[in-house]
Amino acid sequence: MNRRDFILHSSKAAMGLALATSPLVSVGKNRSSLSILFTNDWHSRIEPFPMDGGKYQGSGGASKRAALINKIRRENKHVLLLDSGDIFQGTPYFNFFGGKLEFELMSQMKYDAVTLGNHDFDNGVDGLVRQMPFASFPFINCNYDFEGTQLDGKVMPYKVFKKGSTRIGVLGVGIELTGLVSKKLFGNVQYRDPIKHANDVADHLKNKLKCDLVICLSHLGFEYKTDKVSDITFAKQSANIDLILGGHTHTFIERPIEVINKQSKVVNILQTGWAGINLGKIDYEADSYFEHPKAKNCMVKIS
Amino acid sequence: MSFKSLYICFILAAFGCNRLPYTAKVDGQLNRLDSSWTESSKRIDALIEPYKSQIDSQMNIVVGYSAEELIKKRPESALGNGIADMLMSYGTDFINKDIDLCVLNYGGLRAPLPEGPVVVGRIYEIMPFDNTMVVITLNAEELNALARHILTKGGEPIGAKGHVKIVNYKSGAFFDFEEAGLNNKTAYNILTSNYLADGGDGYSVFQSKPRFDSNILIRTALITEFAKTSQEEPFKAEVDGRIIWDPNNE
Repeated sequence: MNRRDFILHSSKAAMGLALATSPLVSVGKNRSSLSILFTNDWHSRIEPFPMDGGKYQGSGGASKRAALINKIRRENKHVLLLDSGDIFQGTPYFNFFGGKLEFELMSQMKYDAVTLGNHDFDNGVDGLVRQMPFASFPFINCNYDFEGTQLDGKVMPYKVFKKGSTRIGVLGVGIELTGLVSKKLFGNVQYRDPIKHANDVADHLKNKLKCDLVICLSHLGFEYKTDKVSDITFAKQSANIDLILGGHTHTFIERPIEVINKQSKVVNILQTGWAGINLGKIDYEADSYFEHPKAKNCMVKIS
Repeated sequence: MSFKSLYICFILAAFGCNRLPYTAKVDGQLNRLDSSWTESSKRIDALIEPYKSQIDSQMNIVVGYSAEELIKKRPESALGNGIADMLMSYGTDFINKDIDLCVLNYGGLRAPLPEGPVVVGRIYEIMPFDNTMVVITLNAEELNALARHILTKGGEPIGAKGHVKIVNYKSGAFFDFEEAGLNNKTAYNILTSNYLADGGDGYSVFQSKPRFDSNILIRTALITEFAKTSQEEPFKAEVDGRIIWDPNNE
């Protein structure tokens, strides 16, 4: 099922209710139905950037982000909170505590799922595994083979969430670690073709598990001058994925990028920059005329 | 969207036209929360507090001073040059007095340097990785391969004993140590990070070469060198032509 079908499916269901509302829509004046919130590359930025005259002074910080997330949750009960990796590394909090606080904060904020970035291996596979008990959310990736490593069984290829009557499939892909991370740190984690594995999982999510919306958390990077696989090349060759929430390149995508996939369907790509400067927000809401869900992206700057 | 276009969208969608991906348009906007956004989460603040108090006492120590704000740039920047020079200074004092060259990677510098007081925490932000200093020995031919790689990457932070530049001549890319009188050596000692020495960021040229591991953190070198600066004699660095890209020679 693709995005158009998702919309048609939703609107058909809505018509079943005598053209009242789409099943995503809470009845009443508030038309907002499903909010996808996301971050990427927050790099241990626990506190806002210091007030030292720098470009991002005062921006970000877990406390402000949590307050904003809470505010959105009060307005809309259907919220999914996701992260595209590189949670670790960047401030002394990581050097001193190894990522424990990052995971505790994300658990407190009720993140629903995250994928792994290259820097999440900076203290080795065992350094990551050691912090996992502090995370109440699942780690999602479908293109790393963890067999024979401590991560085996601790990372799942996808997870399906149900928000109202909508089924949302979330999968994850990671970047090639060789050359980015010391082999000593990632050990026997094997990188496999992200496009092939993502398409296999997305097909399963859309067609077998009947997900209305399929979201891929990606730490591949937005775009490269070389032929290295990126979210752009991935999106073009993808099928059954509606939305790619990216990371790695710290790209500020203020409006959703549209790429046509191999089924001639639109895939949206978004990335929030880095360090928790922004909280990405995508709303799927009802169109006022035909009650079709409408995707709206808002990047919320935390400054 | 007009009623007419919506109507067309609806018809197209209803009949399953493949060219039209979905009926409702994707709308994007940027909602900025400016400085008036003062809400915070008490629960999150309470969670952070014990960790924060543990590190603040150490991180807020002023270790040195900078004359101006420095931001990394390619092909060359005052920040990259200054940091490479600091490692040269530390490396020749404490690791091996015969280090000829220091090569770091642009991606490894993770934060700008502010004007004025520089606290320990800022050094951690510039160099968060627990990377250590390694000395790799390359012959002249391998050194040329290194120069090509650095130019291919669009320039990296480099420093040397005396002035050095990498120039793309018509015949290829070379390090030019002429001003330092080091052009005709048979072997060069290069100070770099264990990350690059292991072949990270495309530096396969460093792999399987004679290597000395100092096991000293790069951050330790930076803190030691910044400690030499003061309010009266702050850290200064400039762009001085270390990476020369001549488009005519491409």
